[in-house]
Amino acid sequence: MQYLRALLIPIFFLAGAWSTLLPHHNEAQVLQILRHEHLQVPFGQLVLGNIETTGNVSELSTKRESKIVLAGWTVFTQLHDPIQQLDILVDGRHMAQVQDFSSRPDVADAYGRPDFEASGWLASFSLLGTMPGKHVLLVHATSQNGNTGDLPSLILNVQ
Amino acid sequence: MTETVTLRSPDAVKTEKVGSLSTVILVLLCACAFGFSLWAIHIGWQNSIINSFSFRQCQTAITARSIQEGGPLFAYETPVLGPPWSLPFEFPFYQGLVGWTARILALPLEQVGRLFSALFFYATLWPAWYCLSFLGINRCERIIVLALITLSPFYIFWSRAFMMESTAMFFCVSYLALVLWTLKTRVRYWPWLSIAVALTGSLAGSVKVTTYASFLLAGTFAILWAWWKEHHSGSRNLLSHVLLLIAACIVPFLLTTAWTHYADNIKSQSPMSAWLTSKALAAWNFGTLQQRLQFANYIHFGPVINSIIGNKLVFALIILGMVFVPKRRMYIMGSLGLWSSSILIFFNLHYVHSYYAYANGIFLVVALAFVIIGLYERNGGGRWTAACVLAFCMGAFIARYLIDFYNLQRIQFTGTGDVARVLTRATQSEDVLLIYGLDWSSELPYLAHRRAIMDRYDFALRPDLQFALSHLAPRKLGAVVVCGLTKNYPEQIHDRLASLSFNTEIYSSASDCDVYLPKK
Repeated sequence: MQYLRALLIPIFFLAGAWSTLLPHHNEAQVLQILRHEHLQVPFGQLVLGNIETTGNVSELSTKRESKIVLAGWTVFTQLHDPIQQLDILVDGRHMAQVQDFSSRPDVADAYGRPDFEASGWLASFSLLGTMPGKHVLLVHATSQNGNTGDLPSLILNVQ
Repeated sequence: MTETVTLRSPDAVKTEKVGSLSTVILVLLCACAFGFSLWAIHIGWQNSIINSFSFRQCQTAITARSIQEGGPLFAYETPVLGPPWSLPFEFPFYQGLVGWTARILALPLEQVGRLFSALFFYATLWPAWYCLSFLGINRCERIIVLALITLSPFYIFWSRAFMMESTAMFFCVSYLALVLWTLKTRVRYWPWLSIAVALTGSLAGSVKVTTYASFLLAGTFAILWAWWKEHHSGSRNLLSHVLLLIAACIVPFLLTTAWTHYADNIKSQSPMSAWLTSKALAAWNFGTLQQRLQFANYIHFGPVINSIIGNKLVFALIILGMVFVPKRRMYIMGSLGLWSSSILIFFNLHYVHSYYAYANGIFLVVALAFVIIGLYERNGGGRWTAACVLAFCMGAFIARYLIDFYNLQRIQFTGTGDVARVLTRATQSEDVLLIYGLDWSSELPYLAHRRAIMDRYDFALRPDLQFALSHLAPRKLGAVVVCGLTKNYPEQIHDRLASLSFNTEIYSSASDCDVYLPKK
């Protein structure tokens, strides 16, 4: 009987190996962490971020009466200098302010920078009083140490 | 004449036979584990050290080479941030040992570094054996623990890296073994053992304080627990416990603090390195409370846990063991507690650098081993279950090694090797490189065998860079190297080169770096 039991050993060994090989799709992520391959913060760039509502377009069309909702993430790249405030300006006119930042573990993960985590934001504002035509929308960020910077501006086409 | 007859039932004899066969199989499995570990650790032995976290491996290697070439020991040089070149972090026990051995025996530095790293890893098994012995684990069970440690894919890979992690681990486990030994045989050898505890603890703390932290907790707990037990048994031997507490906790703490203070003083001598003092890096080392409160951050540790114990099923086995192996439940929980303590103390370091798990991963492996030991102690069927679980874990460990680490070891990575060869050829041995775009990684200065000023910010002539450039004499700037994304700033590069009287034409391009040389 015990010799039959001994046959279980290679079976369990193979089961252990198989259970490791099974989630193989995760390999790229594992290697990224093990090899420390993260996105690099562009050299000399103080502010990083993205306005995600617009995807990759640089122009956003909207109606004059509508309310705009913008979402994205913004970080300051220097250590120990987290983001404190975000101001959204249209043609230099202050439209909204953000002071609460949500958790974005994907951003922290992508750059290997845990201090980038509290970087998500959401802002909404009304376009009442804005004339039809093309306007410049700017996201202006301020850090706790007083550093400032802008995300790449967007063209806001009000119809 | 009296004859003693031992009566044994046929069932008892049968159980013994079954038990002995399962024990033989367990021992055979452990022998295979040791064999695989030795085979795996030698893979890619001659390859370069830039396969993973080259930043850290080259930082240690450039320091060891400085010592090898006769540089200072305690104020050891890591010549990447300009004069005065000294940049001590950890106590240079490993670096000194490697540097001096390579010098005295005229051996290649990287292989000596690997050798000592591996030797300290396997040497750790010796104090670990005694730790387990003091915890009342029998010989056969101890072999299971050690086999799992040596087979852990994470430990195989990092125990051949040019880093002091295994040296620190050796001293930490030795420290714990000495604490447990002192508690067991206090009367006879007490003073000598206490001195040994203080010295080993101090060495462990100063070689790598992040590794020592959880062992300090374990040592302190063992002493307090022993005192508590004696106190409740009516013994009033408080003094010996207090003295041992001083030797095991206070002395190592003070000496480690003294070393850190010394290292900080040296780093403060240059504005280029002042940001690397322990005070300036406190937030980086410990992380924030917010980080610890985010559940998503803990998921990040999944791949590292997999690399230590194979996969999540094995981790689930440990959790199940807490329920179904009541005899060893406290040991499993204690090991898991020590494993998680290191992460909770140095959260950010563990989050950013996977290799920091070297400090505490051993407790995770030991927790798994205690599950198997608990099964083994059930005798008969329990032993077969233990053998099957051990076989399962070994399969998982070996598969993980082959997936994650085998290729990393086998492939010869070049990194910035190409541009390093250009620089070695185009500059003099005493020349200094001004490097942009590589943070403060020692890789290129190490591979090029040149001192460097790594400017990690921008092309502005800041006071710290001015300080470094103005203190170069008698050395001089031999090349400016611009790498990666920094190449996208041609105007700033031009201005910087012009102000340094360098040619603005690229001398050579390699490894995504442009090399500029001074005007003749």
